[in-house]
Amino acid sequence: MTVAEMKPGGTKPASAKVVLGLAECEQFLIQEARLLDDGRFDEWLNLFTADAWYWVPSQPNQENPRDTISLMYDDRRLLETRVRRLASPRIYSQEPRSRTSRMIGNVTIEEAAPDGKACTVRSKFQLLEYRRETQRIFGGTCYHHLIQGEKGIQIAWKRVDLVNCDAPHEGLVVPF
Amino acid sequence: MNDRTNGKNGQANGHLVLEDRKAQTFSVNREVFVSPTVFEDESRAIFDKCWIYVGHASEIRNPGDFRTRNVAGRPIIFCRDRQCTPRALINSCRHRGAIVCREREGNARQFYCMYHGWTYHTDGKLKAIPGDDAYGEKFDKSTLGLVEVPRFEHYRDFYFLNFDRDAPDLATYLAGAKEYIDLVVDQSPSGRMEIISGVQEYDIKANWKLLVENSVDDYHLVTTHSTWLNYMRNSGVNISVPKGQLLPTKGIGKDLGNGHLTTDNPNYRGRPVAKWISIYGEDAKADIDAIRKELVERLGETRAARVADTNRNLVVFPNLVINDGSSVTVRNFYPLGPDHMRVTAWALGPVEETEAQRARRLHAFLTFYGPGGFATPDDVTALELAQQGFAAWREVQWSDLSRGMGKSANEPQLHTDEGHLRVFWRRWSELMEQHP
Repeated sequence: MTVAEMKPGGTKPASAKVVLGLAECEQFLIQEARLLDDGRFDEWLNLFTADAWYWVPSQPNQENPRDTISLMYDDRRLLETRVRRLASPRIYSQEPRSRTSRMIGNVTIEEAAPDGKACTVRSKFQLLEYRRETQRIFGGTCYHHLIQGEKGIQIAWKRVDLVNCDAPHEGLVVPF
Repeated sequence: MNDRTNGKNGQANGHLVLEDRKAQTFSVNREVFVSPTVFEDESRAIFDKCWIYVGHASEIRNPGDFRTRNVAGRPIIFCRDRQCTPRALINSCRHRGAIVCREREGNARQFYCMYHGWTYHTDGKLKAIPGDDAYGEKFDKSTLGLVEVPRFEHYRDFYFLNFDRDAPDLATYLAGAKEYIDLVVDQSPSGRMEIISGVQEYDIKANWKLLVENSVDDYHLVTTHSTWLNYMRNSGVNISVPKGQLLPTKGIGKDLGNGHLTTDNPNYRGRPVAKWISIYGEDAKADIDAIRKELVERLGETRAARVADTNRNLVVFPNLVINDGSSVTVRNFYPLGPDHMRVTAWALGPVEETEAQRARRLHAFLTFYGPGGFATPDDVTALELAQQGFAAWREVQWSDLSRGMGKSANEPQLHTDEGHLRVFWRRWSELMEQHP
């Protein structure tokens, strides 16, 4: 599957002149993982562009979120709702809160704009989640489309392919 | 609650469901959620006697298409044979038992057992046995096809099986549920709905009957799903609750006969067919209007309003739920033990839908339902907390389902009452008590 086939929407043109290198991208992904592990979901949300989307397919090699059920497929507004829900004391599926630990690795740049201001980054991740005496392990491949914007690096889209995307899942409440 | 016993040792003369019309109380003994004996009895008294949902015609469109699934504990091949006849075959080799169709879905020319190579046609008939000269003359291959389930029928493309050869036909069994399935199917201009690709599967560490209750229990919506209601409010949907009500609109809970039941509610959450809400965006208005117009032309104003302005959560006894609201969900679940169930949920839509309409439908579906949705994880939590509470079933014996019992017979049972939940429990109790 090529990167072009993976994205259901168009990419966003970059504006600033900074070039995104592998080191910058890797640092960015590590910082993103850290925000999620620390439960700083508002700050995580701020990493996304105003027209970003976030997609967790339910099928291996799923081509499209629009004609096939996904695990999650959020536009910016739904992503905001997801984060707002996480902040609510009445999100009973997060009572008590999950504790998570993420590892990011094997980071590669798959495709880059000629001017270096936007690129698609592929990475591997492992996520440990602990809640109510149960530890779960998730793992898989992430694709981030990053752009160098006015606020620094931002995520235009993120796709998370879980190794067990088509398995029966208990609640997937904390974002990947 | 323990005083709701009329026998010794809290056994209520052996009854697990108690209805006391004088005291206007309805109680379910929590033993039904934890007991391995009850779980075993249910397999025979309920799942071997009732019509059980297998799948939808759209899942096996072409000759040779198949889906393998577990239906009431049995491995089943739901397929369309090469002659185009839908079948439900038991997925077990007649030779020594191995599963012959090992994929979850696909298209097959034949079913091949990888153990000794016995091969079956897609209609189940035995095609070939390697080395069949080793069998005696009277060995009759024509009797050794894959076993078909005793009864297999459909209503408007929803296929069910029955392991009881003597069961009444499906249409009779479905009773009043047919009217509500019709309201779903009428949403397609050609009367053809389809299962949308992809599936949600999740496990709940709770007894399966709790999900029957939860699927139609509108009493819990405001408390369990306040974060989802906030999303509605923040998206500009009017969710103000009139005085004296628990929810924005006032619906009813209804007995459909044979243990089937439904809620029937004026819609406020938007419907792909066909009620616009702000979440869909301004540019979807004209599209929804056009869907509505087609509906009115085809069905007339009254019927169109019935289809498009009301929501229903339907339970086809014992374990099929069709939620017809902001999307259409077909949900099926099985016990894996007294305290554990496996849920499978599909989205259903008219075959005519455009890509934009389909995207809108899936957007609403994912927002509410499934492991990543904004409501299902909280439902799962509620059910699991209840199951944990049942560990003390000997000390706290009875669950209460008395809401609405104070009403006279001609006053409707509301969707936030428990009259429709009692319909399930009466039928469950009846079948369990008939069981030898």
